[in-house]
Amino acid sequence: MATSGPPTSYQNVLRDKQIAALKRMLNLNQPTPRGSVAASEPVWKVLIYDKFGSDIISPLLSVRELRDLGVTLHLQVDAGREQISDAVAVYFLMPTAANVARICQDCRAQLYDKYYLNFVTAIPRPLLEEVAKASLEADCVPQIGKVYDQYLNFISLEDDFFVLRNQMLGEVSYYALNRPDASDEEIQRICDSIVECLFSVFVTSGTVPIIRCPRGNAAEMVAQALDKKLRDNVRDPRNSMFTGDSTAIAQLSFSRPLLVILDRNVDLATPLHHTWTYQALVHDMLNLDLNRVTLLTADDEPPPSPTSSPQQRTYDLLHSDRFWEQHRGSPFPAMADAVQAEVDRYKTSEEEMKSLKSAMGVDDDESEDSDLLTDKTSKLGSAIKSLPELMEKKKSIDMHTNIATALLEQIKERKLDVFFEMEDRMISKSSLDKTVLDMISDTAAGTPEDKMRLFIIYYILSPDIAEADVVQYTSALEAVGANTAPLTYLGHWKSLSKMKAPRPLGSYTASTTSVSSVVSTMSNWMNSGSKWMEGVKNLVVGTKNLPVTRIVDQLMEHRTTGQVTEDYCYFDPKQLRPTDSRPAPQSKTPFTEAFVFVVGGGNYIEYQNLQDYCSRQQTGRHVTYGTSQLMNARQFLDQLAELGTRD
Amino acid sequence: MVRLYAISVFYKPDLSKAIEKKAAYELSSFGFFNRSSVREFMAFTSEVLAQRTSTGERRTVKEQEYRCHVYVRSDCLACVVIADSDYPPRVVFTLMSKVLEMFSSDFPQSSWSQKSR
Repeated sequence: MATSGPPTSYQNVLRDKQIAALKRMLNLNQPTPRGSVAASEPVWKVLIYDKFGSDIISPLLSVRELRDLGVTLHLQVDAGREQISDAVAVYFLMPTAANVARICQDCRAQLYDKYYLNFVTAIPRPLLEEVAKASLEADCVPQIGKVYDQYLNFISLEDDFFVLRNQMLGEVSYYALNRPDASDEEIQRICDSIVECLFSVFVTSGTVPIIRCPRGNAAEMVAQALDKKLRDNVRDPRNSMFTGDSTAIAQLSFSRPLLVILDRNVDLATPLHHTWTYQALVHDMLNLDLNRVTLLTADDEPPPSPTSSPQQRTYDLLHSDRFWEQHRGSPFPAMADAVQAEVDRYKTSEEEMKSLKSAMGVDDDESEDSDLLTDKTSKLGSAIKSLPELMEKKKSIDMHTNIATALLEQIKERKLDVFFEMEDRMISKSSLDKTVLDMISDTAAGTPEDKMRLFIIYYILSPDIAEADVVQYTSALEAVGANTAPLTYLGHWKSLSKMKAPRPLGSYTASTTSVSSVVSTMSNWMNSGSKWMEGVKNLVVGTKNLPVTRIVDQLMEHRTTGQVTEDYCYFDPKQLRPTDSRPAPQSKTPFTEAFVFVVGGGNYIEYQNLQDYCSRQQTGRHVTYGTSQLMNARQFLDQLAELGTRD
Repeated sequence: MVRLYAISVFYKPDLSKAIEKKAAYELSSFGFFNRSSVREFMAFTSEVLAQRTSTGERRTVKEQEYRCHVYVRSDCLACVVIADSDYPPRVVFTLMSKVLEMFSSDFPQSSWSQKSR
């Protein structure tokens, strides 16, 4: 079962490092003296950010944590801000011309007492000169405390999952990279922004990776540019980021990680696959956005707060929520069971409390020994202590119950379990018990989108599908109202792939060491006593490896001869001369740490698959997954449709 | 939409060989990263076609959704054009004759009748 394993002693967690960097920044980048007294008064500050900055901070630090670090007020850079003359202002912005203009304006208006400027990524020289000029003019040079390049240009959603950005996604989408009329400069720009993000990731993590990528596509371009940037920085004697003696970047591991850069085109089926694990389902159905999900409440429930509209509830799915951490990778039925178990456990604790209350209140009759009294008092004391914990638990259980109910509604309505089972069987090449055509024409199951997804996966996975069959399927799809534009694009894609690689598109075979096991019970009723899962099949996610996982596995273990990864480029930024990218790895020992970056869009399914792969390994292995854009199936389908209509 | 993807001129010293002398490609309708592989594929297809066509012949071959047109002139110069399926074949053949005329008038026979590239 795909629950996350016990926490390993892995030291180099990216998210923690990013949090540490943010805390350092909010601490005004002052070195914390060892043995400082904990009760010292923090410096009160105002945090000013733009949209990029807020996207980076919000999944990592809650408002309460910000307050603990001394931030009393946080404001958007564009909002009208008033003068607070003796405040310290910490800016956290992207170094764009507009932001710099705003900073100069603030300096001239003397809004704050001290300014600490932190730029998300390196500020280009001309803009820096502008800031200097404005501060000279406004005569506030002594007030500018520090100007820092933070190199934090990525968003950590989980411990081992990062995204390039959440704003202006159209610039780095799959569509932008693959559309035919993209000019050279646009592609170069996209490549540069991706390289900057990856560079920030490695500066924050403090390691220089070995880079491997397939040839001939966006991944190779990104890899080459990143290699050059890392090499220039390592060689630069004056301000290398990787010298290892900077404050928090302690190199605890002595082996270098592997960076695998892949293009989305290596696997177009996975983003459209119907999901079955909890987190992936929330992302697919309910649009999980920066770890926040919004549900539409039923009419009879009161709205949670006056500010949110009466029909919506917003939930934050946080790292600190124990249930979420444990079950975000579990298949839906298992998660439903777990929620049920939690509810039962909560009910028993509630019963205990109630019984305690009655035992205390009513029986205050005569013969109480002092022992009995202290016993009851201690019980009451422990009950009171555990009260806030119980309240938290109740909130969390409520949240997960609501989310699971919403998911279940959608699953039942669209018969998503059937879709999942069919796709799973297609991927593992076992026989289907219902043909694709039947499924498409079945009006009771699924939206036109679901049917489109199913057919696209079928289309991608069968390399020799006949032209006439395709026409038949297309007309069936159009009859149920689906938009068949993606198929035009996919036709091109398929012929191009055939052109490029004489190898068949059969990279979806189950790996030899794992067996896909989709268990569907004889009857459609689950016999686990959970009241929710009636009518939904009890499917278990098998242990198959998706193409991305398989590629990473081959590269980490250097098992590349005769496989898809044989012809991958090899870049090592620490070597003196740029290698001519022929694969000549120095050491044959398997890597223990890897970063995977998918150019053109990624999803939770691949992320979960990689984590399952890691937990299955005997030797500790850690993979961090990153992507330029996190998209769910609907968004990807839209992009494919755009690409298809462009022709 | 009618589209031309590639025009190439070959020299055929004997029936089994075709040496490419000049080629031009218009690949802006393909994605940025696919262009080099498409170009290679088209070059290869053109060469094979030129090889397999005998002197004085005009031919049209259908390849997926493209049409490849070949014309081999009597002086062993061959022209291959790759276009989409909407492009009228008569226009293509006229185009190919014109291209070969211009080629042979611009470059003297001695410069292209060698067996090397």
